[in-house]
Formats: sequence, C-alpha cells, structure tokens
Amino acid sequence: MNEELFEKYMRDELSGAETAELARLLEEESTGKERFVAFAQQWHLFGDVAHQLQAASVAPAPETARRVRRFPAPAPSVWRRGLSWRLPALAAVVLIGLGVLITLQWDRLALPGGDLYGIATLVSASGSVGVQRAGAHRPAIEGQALARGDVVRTGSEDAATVIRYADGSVLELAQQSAVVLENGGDARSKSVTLQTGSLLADVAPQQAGLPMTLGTPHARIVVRGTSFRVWVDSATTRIWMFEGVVDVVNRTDGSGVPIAAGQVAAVGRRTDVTGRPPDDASGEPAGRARNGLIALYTFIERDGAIVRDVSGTGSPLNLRIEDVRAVDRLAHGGLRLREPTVVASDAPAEKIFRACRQRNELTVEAWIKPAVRSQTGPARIVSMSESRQARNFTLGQDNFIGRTVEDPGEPGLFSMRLRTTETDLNGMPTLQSRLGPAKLRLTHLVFTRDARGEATIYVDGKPLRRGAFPGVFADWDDGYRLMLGRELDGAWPWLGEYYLVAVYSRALSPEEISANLRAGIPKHHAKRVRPTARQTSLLHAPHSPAPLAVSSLRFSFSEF
Amino acid sequence: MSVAPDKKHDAMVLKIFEYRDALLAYAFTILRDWQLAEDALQETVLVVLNRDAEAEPVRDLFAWVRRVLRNKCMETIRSRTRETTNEQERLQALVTEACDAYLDEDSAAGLKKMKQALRHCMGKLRSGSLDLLVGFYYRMQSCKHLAEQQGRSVNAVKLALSRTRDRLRVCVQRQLPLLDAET
Repeated sequence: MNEELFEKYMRDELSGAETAELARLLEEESTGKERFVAFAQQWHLFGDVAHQLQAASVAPAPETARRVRRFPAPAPSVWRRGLSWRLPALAAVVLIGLGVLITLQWDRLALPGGDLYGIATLVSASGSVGVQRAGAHRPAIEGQALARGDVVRTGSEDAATVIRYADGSVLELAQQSAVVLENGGDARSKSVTLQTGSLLADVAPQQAGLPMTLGTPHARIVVRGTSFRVWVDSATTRIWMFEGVVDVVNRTDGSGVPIAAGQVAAVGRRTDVTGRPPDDASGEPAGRARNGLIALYTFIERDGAIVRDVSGTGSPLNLRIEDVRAVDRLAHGGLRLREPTVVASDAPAEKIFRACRQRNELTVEAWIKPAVRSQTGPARIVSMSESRQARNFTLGQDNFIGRTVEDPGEPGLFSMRLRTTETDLNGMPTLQSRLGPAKLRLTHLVFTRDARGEATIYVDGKPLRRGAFPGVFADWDDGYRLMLGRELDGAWPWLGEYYLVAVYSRALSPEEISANLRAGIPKHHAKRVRPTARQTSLLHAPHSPAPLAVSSLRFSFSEF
Repeated sequence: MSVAPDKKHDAMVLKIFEYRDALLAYAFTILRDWQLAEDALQETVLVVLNRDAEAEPVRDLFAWVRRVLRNKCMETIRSRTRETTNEQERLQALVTEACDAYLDEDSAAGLKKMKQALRHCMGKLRSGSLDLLVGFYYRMQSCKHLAEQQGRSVNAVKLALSRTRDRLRVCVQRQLPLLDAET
C-alpha cells in the first residue's frame, strides 16, 4: 500500500487525499521516512543505471541526444576560472593513459579493419581456447575483443566459451568447436560460421532488415532474435529450436524452411523437420513412460545458463540457472548445485498448470544425488511455487521432526507439499517418507497423486510412503514458475546433483515407475554415475509393491 | 571536515563528483525529473566554483553541498508556474526533510557501492528486461503503457518487472561482499 503511494509520488500522480496520506506517513510513522527514501533511491538507481547501460549499447537517437542537456551553458568566465588549467591537464593525462593502455593491452584493442573495440567480446574462455587472427593463433583472453575474420576454437576439455555482442546476443561454444566471425555484408549485421562442433545461440531481437546469419557447411540459418542449438558434423547440421523461429536454407538444393520452437531440423542433402529432438539430442533414455509427460529435463547441456525442456510437449519450459558460478556442469552431463542458487523457468509453468489442474493428477520424478543428508526447509528439489509460503507443489528433502525443540531430529527424508482445496496455500500438511531414505547416492525419487487423492512417494521404485492429498487442484495458481534448487526468494536451498527431472499430468502406475527406473538416467550420465547394486536388482526384479498402510498426513513444523 | 582556502574549490568539486549519484538521487527525489535534477546539480557546481576564495572554510563540506543543492531544488520548484496547494507544500517540506535525514556521507558511499553492484548485475540482464526497466523507471511509463507498447498484458509486465527486481536484488546481495573484498 505504501509502495503504491511512493510510486504515485514519483510519477506526480497523487490525488489530494493521497498527498495528505503520504504526508501523514512521513510525519508520523517512524519507519515511513526511511522506507520512502530507500524507495526513491532505488527508483533513481534503477532508472539511471538501466538508462546508462541501454545508452551504452545503442547509438543515441537524435531525439535522445537532444534530451540530455537542457541546462544552459555556464557563463564563460565561470568555466574559464574553474577549468582553464584543468582541461589541458586532463587531456594530457588521458593521452598518457591511452598510450600505456594501448602498449599493455594491444592484443585486446588493436584489431584489423578499424574495429578498435571489435564487434563482440569473448566474455568467458578457459583451457585451450584460442583465437586465430590474421593467420596467427593465440590463446584466448577473457574479456578479449573479437573482430571480423577472427576464428575462435575450443578444445576437448574446455568449459563454456561465451561470445557476447553489444546488443546482448550470446553464442556459447561447446567443446571442440570452431566459429568464424565473418567479414563482408552490412557492417551492422552479424554473420558467423560454425565450421565444426556445436553452439548455443541466444540472439537478441535484430534490427529489421538486418538479421543475423549463422552459416554451417550444410545450411544458412537466418536469425531475427531467438534461442537455439546447432550441431555440425561431416554429413549434417542439426538445429534444435527453443524459442521463436529461424529460416533454414539448405545449401545443397537452396530450399528454405522455417523452424519453430520445439522443432528440430536435420540439414544434409535434404532438410528433415521433426516435432521433437532426436534421442541423442534430448538425452531421454529409451523405454520411459511418455503418456502425460509435460516437462522433461535431462541436463545434457555442457555449458551455459539454460537447462532445456526436452519433453517435446507444447512450448519448451526451459529453466535458467540464476548463478552459473554456483553450479558445475558435470563432465558427462548432469548438473551439480554446489552452492545455493535457483534454476527456474523465466515464465510461469502454464503448461503444467493447465494439464494438472484439468486432471487433478500429478507425478514428479527426479534422478538425483543429494550432497548433504541433513537438508531442511524442506530443501527444494523440484518446486512450482512463488515464495517460501505459497506453492502449487514442492518435492523436497527434509529432516524428521525431533522429539523436543532442541532435538534436530533425524536427517534424511523426502517430502511433498501439494496445494489442493483441502490443503493450505503452502501445500501443507506435508507428506513425508518416514524411513529416512535420503542417502548420498544416486536416487530415483517419484511422487504420484491420482484423481482420488491417493499419494505415494517412491524411492528407487519402492513405495515408501502412502498418504492422501484430498480435494482438487482448483486453487492452483497459474503464475508460479517451475524451479529447482531453492525458492525464488532465496529460501531453503537444496544441494546435490540432478540427472533427470520429469513432470507428468497424471499419476504414473507402479509399473510405469519401474519402467522409468529400468530406463535409468540419460546414457551419457551413466558413464559417470552408475546405479547401485540395489537399484540394479530392482531393475530386474518383478514388480511387487509392498502393502502399505494409508496413513493420515503428517504435519511438518517447517513453517516456510 | 575543514578545508584550507586554497584547496577548497578542488575539494568541493571532487566531493560533488565523488557523491554525484547520491546527490542526484537526492535532487531527483525532490524534483522527480531527471533533467531538472541534473540541472540542479550543475548549478550547485557553479555555486561552488563561484564561491569567494577568501570565504570562511566550510566545516562539513558534504552537508554544505547538500544544502546548496536543496536550495537549488527549491528554486526550481518555485520557478514552476503551477500553483501548489498547502497540502502539496507540506508534503514537499516533509520529503525534503526525509531526504536530508537519510543522506549523509556514509549513505552516499553506500549508494555509490550499490550502484556499482547494480551496474554489474544489470549488465547481465537480457535487453528486453533492460528496456522494461528503462521504460518504467527512467521514462516513468506506466505498466499499462508498457503493456500496450509490448503487446503484453498489464499483469505480465508487472510480473516481469517483479522478477527482474528479484533477480537484481539477489545478484546485488551477492555482488556487494565481492566489492567489499576488492576494496
């Protein structure tokens, strides 16, 4: 309420009554002044910094330039007195500084073709990344300016190599890739060629009539602003679209075809377009249940901030890692949350909302490896929520409640909160698996809830806890995002490794859960993390769920 | 802080430049106009440069600069032709009082660091998010206006703004200790 008043003040839109109300607040409430000043300072900082950054990345339009100075020029006498000796001195200092800088940083600044600051920046590079310029190959330097004609090559062990343009467009090169920043064409447009390997492109909207062109040996991709991944091998170029549309021209027959979000094009002698990514691109293990699948994450990306939804259902609900420094991309795939961060969709998870609310059923599945047994909150493994107090569902890791206030309880269990018309907005009471199964090893964790309200937590195919979430999903909120790792407000982080996360709009049967367990983790992860002997035995055992008593829900005392 | 007469112009101008962001935020809060706030600060610089070199040394330089800026803001408000009600004048006085109470040298230094962190964090935003911030905070456009401009719903714009602020808040919280460590 106060913020509305503050905002109206900043916009000079206060009514008479609101003016009096704000005056009363500033006069009478002890914290009113402080909050008001903090609000105004934040407004100023946001506006000032955002405007400066925008102005730095876009050439100022004449109108903008005119707006910058309305203040009349000061009287010459004043400025002569104040600045007459300072200006030459300042100019000398700047010239000397530039001389030193150019001497020391020539590699970063001196570029052929008159591109003093280059057309893009190599913002991240490690290992054996190199830049070839005018025939000479040199190790790359982070922060290095790149010019037209430069070739950037990555090695077999290199982590994310990121090239950023001034408009925010980003190219992330995978290992063993080579990209050329092309000469020619309109100087204002971007043109690159991926000679070999793979890259992830996140391209900002381009000026009308000046699309970015990404060439490969087999295709020319015309990009106006979107996000996609490209692979090049000797026979084909594959393009997997995450957002928007690109036009793909086949170099062999000259045919052109638009590729939209969720589609994959394979360009060789001809162009084939499919509705979902090929298995080796999606990482989805064969034999998994697909009926009702809404979102699937296999963590196949080896770099960058994006985790792709490879379900092929509707528009991809990709997730973004908030702080890439807090995570490790594991060598054979998988994502390790080493420090607290959140991996969340940019937009509300509408497709999950729509499908689950319609059926009043849900399955949340995760192949994970917890880093710590004692994680509490519950620590958020998979969540569709707004804050620590409002959610549609959260699958988490928690402790048993101790017998006394001082007793922290026993660490290591899994828990589920689910909003229905019979639970609160926080999805409580919580269903918990009582047997303390959270171990520091690869774990197959599944929660199901069917339309009758019956809910089960499965660990490694075994139904460890059965309960009930009565009611329906009519109270679900369509504005909540899907997230891994913690809440958006920073609460209750979970640390560990993700190998697969799936959300279904129906309750999988025990047989289907066994099938998913049998299918295992994405095959490239399996090189690094092998199922345990117990999981292996479960894989081959006939399914025989142990009879469970249906218990009443157990109330968790975790308040948030 | 007392300043010797022969160095005081330089010290004052440097002080203004050092705490330019905080002083500008101060003027902006009172005037609510980017250009008028800039102008008021420019005029404050002129007052400093015009000050008689033989005048008494200033005891609290920052407070003195802030007072000059405040007077310049008041002059600007008075020069507006629009009539103001008693209630508006009362509010103006209270706003100025609040700004005075919470702008000292320490808070100005804090604001400067905050801006440094925010600049780093905003630099990582996508251009669409940056455009939204510029539209809302710099151009003072309403959510409704931005929604029409971008072909989105008002709620979607509010949500996007809220998320961007969340991201920035978290990023700035992470960035500030790093800046502290650097200094």
